[in-house]
Amino acid sequence: MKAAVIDMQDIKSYRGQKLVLDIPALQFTAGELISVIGPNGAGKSTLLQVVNLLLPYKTGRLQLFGEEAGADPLSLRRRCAMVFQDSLFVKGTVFANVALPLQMRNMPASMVTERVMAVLEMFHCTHLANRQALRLSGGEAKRVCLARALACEPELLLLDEPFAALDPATRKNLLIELRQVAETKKMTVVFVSHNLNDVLQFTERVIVMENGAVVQAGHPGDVIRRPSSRAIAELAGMDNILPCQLEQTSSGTQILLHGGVAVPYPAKAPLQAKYCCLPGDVFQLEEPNQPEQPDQIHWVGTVRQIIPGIGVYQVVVEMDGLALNLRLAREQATDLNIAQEILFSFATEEIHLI
Amino acid sequence: MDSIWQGFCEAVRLLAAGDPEVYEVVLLSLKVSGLATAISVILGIPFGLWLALNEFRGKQLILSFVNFGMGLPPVVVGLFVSLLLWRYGPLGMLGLMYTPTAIVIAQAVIASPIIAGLSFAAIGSLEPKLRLQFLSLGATGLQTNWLLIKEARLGLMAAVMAGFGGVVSEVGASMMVGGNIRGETRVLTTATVMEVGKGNYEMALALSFVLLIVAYGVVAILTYSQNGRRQDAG
Repeated sequence: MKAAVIDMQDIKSYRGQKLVLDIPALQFTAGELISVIGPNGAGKSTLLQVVNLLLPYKTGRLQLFGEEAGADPLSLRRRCAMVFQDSLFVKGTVFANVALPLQMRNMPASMVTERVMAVLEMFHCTHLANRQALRLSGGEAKRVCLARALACEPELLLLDEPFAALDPATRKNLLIELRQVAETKKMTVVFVSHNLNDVLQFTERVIVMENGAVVQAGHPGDVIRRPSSRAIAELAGMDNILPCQLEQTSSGTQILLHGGVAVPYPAKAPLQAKYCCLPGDVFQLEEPNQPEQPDQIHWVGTVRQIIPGIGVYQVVVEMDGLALNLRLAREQATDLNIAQEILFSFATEEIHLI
Repeated sequence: MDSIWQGFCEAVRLLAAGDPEVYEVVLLSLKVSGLATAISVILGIPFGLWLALNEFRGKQLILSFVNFGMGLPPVVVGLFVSLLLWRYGPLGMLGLMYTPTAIVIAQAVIASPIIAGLSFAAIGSLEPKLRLQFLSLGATGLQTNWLLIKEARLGLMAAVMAGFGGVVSEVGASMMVGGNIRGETRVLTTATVMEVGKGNYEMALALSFVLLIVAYGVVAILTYSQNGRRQDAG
């Protein structure tokens, strides 16, 4: 088993009187790429700041690289680096900014130059070395930020929504490059984001936080299809989050949606559930007069909007006052017309209640 | 209007002629106010930095006192310092009353809150996460503070200028604790007041112009160094 780079036990951190982080147990192993997602105020940044020993925690135990965090915070902090959402440069050239962490460690000037140029090269920004850091464009600034963070070859890289202000194409490129660098250097990376696309691009393990606590952990695919709360469902871009009530009947549980639509629910249901989640890709178009399959729900609705996309089209269908988002293959969607009545079905096992 | 012009001409003549008494007064003014400003920088900038970087109960109260201190009337400061240094006062045994040191003490009391308050504002206007970023890049506490001071240097320079300007131009405290003794504690402001008292308006005007020229000279040097650095930094 790989050694734990971060090991948190019963960590509680407060801001004033308010509990902002409550982690009973959390481990990250060496070389792992982990994403942390959650709505604003979920405690993601707090988690990173506690790990980077920038924010004190009141109770619990934190070990970094197998050492107690309290023993020598400076030397532990120097094995990590954090990139914030803002670039946070000092006045001066790109070179001076990237050299900063090396100078903090009293590295000889000749080595500083060598190391700065190497790390700028790694992020394709050698040509920026003599530019004023505060005048870089958003994408350039982020490359330089990453170069600055990696100048000291940290074992643990903490990213606090660093690409939030960038356009999708630049983000994607940077994430791909960063992933390659992290894999080559066998670095552990904790990546905080509220963009699930970035997370899917970057990691295979995701941790979901809400109100200072970890509420879900696992593969990003599970989080997308089985989110733990409405906030996470929205964050994950769940196509249909339908308010519902649950009712016990003689034959089992029944989900009552708005507009009087009732859906039998085969599994054991959490009775306090308030929302019924249905990913848009669970729906299938059906031909009329086809025999109904058991455990399949058949609905009839009217097409209201067809939104083109690459791979899948999004089709908005109205049914008894409910607006449903269906994701259909292009060849199916282009055959449809606005105001057309369609028959569609889904398997009840795809229902996720929250 | 004529007398103002005459005063200005007299000021230029006094400076150009190298009048030893005027030069002595100018030099003492610069020495005393410069030293008082230096002491205030040593006290005020770290205090402003500490106040800007720490959150604690009672911070607002301390800040309100600092802001209040920025407007302390020099006469009141002079009175309190006199009472402390007076022969029978608590610090009377030091024998500092009516010495340049007494003026330095009084002026440092006036300038310290000005420099502390403006330093607080300069450091406080930096991006709050900058400190965390420095620490996260591996800076020690001292390195972090030094980098923050460097980033806020324009604002801090303004604080130093305001502090120096405040003390080089005050008269109440210098008069009270210095006594305007010729050749010992006479500074430009006290000399000006004395000349007005004697009815020597031309001389008083000349001295005030010398004061303005000296004060402008110092501030100009600081401003140019500030701008020079800003251009360096781009």
